[in-house]
Amino acid sequence: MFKGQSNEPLIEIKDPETIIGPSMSVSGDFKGNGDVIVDGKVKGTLKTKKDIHVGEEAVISADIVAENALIAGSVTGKIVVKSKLEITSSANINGDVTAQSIDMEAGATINGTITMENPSKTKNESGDSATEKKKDD
Amino acid sequence: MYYYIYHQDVRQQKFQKRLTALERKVNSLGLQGKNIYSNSYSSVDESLKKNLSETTESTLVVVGDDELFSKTLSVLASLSIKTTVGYIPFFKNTQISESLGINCGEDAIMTLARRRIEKIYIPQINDNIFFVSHLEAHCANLIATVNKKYSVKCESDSAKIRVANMPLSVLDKNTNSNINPRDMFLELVVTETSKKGALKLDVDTKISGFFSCENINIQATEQKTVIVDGFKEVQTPVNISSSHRQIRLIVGKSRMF
Repeated sequence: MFKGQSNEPLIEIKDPETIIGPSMSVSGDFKGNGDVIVDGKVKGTLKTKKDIHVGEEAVISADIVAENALIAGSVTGKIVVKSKLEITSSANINGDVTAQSIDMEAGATINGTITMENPSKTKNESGDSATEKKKDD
Repeated sequence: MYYYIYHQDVRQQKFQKRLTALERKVNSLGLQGKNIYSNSYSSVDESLKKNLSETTESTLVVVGDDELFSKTLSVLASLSIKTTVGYIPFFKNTQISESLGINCGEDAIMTLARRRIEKIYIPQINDNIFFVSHLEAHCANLIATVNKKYSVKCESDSAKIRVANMPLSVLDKNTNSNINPRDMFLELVVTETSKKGALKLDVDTKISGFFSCENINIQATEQKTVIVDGFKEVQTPVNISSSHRQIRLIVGKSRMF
């Protein structure tokens, strides 16, 4: 179930529509239609219809909305993911998290409420036992 | 009807042999037409107005370099002249021809004869300057506002910012960066270069930022120069937006978009 067992991320981005590299900072209301890779700084809102990959060096002070997301960096704000959310051990999240399924490595820090929506659909499609609601400090 | 607009250097004595061979090939394929000789880039505007204004359906072939090609397309966009444009790159190091999949010299005439046509959008700067491929500036002290929604800043002084309409380099081709002049989007690309190798002679270029945009405003804390299509200079602030102006281009099979 956990990424650490296979070393291969569940959410991979091959052809990003947007790249925010380590030396980049973005502020404002970002809305995208494609995949987004963030390794820099973002302030405001960060929304896309597809996937977001937040790298280890990324520092985000923004609400995030995406189809799937991989979080390895620092996020301050709400995270709403329609399908899968993968949180690696280096992640530091301050805010509420909502996703259909969550894959979290040991060592990750979350200060906020975790809500898992559409559990029945998740169970049928992937077999993950995602019917839970927990708070993790 | 074919029109050929020639770069002023093409008629130099040292290129006479190549030019003759090229014209012979054009004639053998039945593509001959009227020749327009511009004395300088600034006279392109007048030459095109004079020769093409009353023509409805024509093919204008640029024989020269990227600068003449870009200048010609931007003039055509501003005049709304209906013509199909071909390109015979006469000199080496023509990035646009590479992007269009057109080889230098006589090969280009075969591409012309095949008439594979793509419609491309010609974006504009400050509502009065059209450009074809890209504009570029150093990132230091620059802020780009995208779609009037968010701003982008690069903290590396060595980085360059490029607003691309057309993919130009191997870097664009290898990164699947979706730069395509057939869509109405512009791409904001930030690249950083670093020297590598024992003698630091090799240059490594990587993409630090990539954004798909409809319009971009570039401002600087102090006035800075932005290079348009590799030759024209404009000063900040600049507003760049996609326009509805389209031009029909004859392209090669190996085009990058």
